[in-house]
Amino acid sequence: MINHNELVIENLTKTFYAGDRRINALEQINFKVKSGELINLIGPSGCGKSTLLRCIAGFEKPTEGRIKLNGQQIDAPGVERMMVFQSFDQLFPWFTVLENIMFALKVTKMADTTGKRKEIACAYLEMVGLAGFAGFYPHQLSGGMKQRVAIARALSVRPQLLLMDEPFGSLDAMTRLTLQEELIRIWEETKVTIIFVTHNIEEAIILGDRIVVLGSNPGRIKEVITNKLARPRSPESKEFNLIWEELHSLLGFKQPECARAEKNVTKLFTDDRELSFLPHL
Amino acid sequence: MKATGTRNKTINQVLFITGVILGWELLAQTGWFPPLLFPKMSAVFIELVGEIVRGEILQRLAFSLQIIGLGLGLAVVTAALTTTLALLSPLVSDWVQALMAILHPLPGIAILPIIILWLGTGARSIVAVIWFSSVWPIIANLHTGLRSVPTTQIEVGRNLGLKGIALVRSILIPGAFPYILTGLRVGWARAWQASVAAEMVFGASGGEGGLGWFIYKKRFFMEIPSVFAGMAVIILIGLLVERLCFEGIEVRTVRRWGMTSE
Repeated sequence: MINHNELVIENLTKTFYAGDRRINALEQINFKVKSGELINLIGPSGCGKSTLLRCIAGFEKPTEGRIKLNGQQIDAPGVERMMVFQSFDQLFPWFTVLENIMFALKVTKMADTTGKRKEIACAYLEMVGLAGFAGFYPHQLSGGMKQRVAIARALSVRPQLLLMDEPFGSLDAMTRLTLQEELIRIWEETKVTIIFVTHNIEEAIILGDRIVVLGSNPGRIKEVITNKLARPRSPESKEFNLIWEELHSLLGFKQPECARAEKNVTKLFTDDRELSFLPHL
Repeated sequence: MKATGTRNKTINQVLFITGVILGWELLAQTGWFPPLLFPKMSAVFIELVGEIVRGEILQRLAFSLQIIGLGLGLAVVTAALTTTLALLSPLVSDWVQALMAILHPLPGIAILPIIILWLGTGARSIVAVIWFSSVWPIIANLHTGLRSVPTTQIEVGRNLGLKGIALVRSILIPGAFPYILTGLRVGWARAWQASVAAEMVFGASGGEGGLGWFIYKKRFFMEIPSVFAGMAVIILIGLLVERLCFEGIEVRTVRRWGMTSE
């Protein structure tokens, strides 16, 4: 059953309280993801895109609404929904690269013998191009390599859904481009469904089949853009630029945050003028 | 580059200590000070060898190590239980932190008078003082250590289906290991200090006692070289445990994992 709606998000609302201030991180999110799709979530910082991903992962409980995977409601973390984080400390420092993956295989009971676990772990390391680094400890790796291992570890337990929370957000531009290409290749190889959070417009266009644009406070879906550009996608092309401009205008102009910031600046300026009666100003 | 750097440091330190010992010997040889109060290093060394041959100092050492092991072992168990409870309940966590704030600054030896009233003047009281002296730094480090484990690593564990004791055992404890090691180091040092101090206050009952009691007794008979010999043994054991035990563990774990901030 290919292309059925694997993940269904219904009327999802998530509210936080910061002191006595109520923050509507997510409001009335309705969305469906098909099996094998690569979805990008994009939005200004603080728009709740990570919160949405964490709800799908089961780390956060929705205030209202529900999320279903293959018709089953999600209420806790699960190995069929593996998360890859932005931070470089997601690998266990006391395990080698190989042991990190073998540990995942062991606790999820994906393979029952050490030999088998090692074999699978090696295969996944090879897939991310790190076969030569099996015996290294995480602190001996670069940031990009750590993220590769994290992707290999997440995929090794054969999840249906790979949740990626700005995994390339802390990488330099070159490494980021390489890893985007690799991710596309891995996605095409494994056919895993990917939900990828980013705040980088180019990254969203390079990767996604569909790009979900979230607005902030309240965090709502503003627009869903279908991206049918043929891969590999070149930022030089005209079509790429059209999508870029569309996303840019959806994200860049008259965000509530910007409007607020503008108001504050004006206020500051007024305050300054009021102080100008002081002789030294 | 790094290897020669460390070798030079070690040679430098050994030379310095040898210099201090020689200086001491020469100063004592001049006869400016009464030998009874300021014995020659050679006399201390001869006495140390003599005590080792006669066996008394080794017996004392064995006794000390035994009660320190007992006190420290109890402290580790107490710390593990307390921290586990604190981990499960925020209420207990508040209590533990309050207790720590109140009792940590209190030197172990300060509770000795009360402990003597409660438990009498025996090995039990010394164990109690050792336990009290070492339990707080161990709890404090364990507590901090468990909280220092990055949230992402805990979430990866939960994502893989770990929870409860399994999560603690396979993620939190290895993650907190640098702190656990520090806690044990401080606990061990405190335990030694406490055992020596406690034995000097009331000695030991029935002729039993550790190195503290040995030093105290030798001072009583004015066998000053033996007093220094007792101190030398404490220093040697300290160095040995640090070098062989703690450093060995550190090199194989925390340093190999890159979990030190050196």
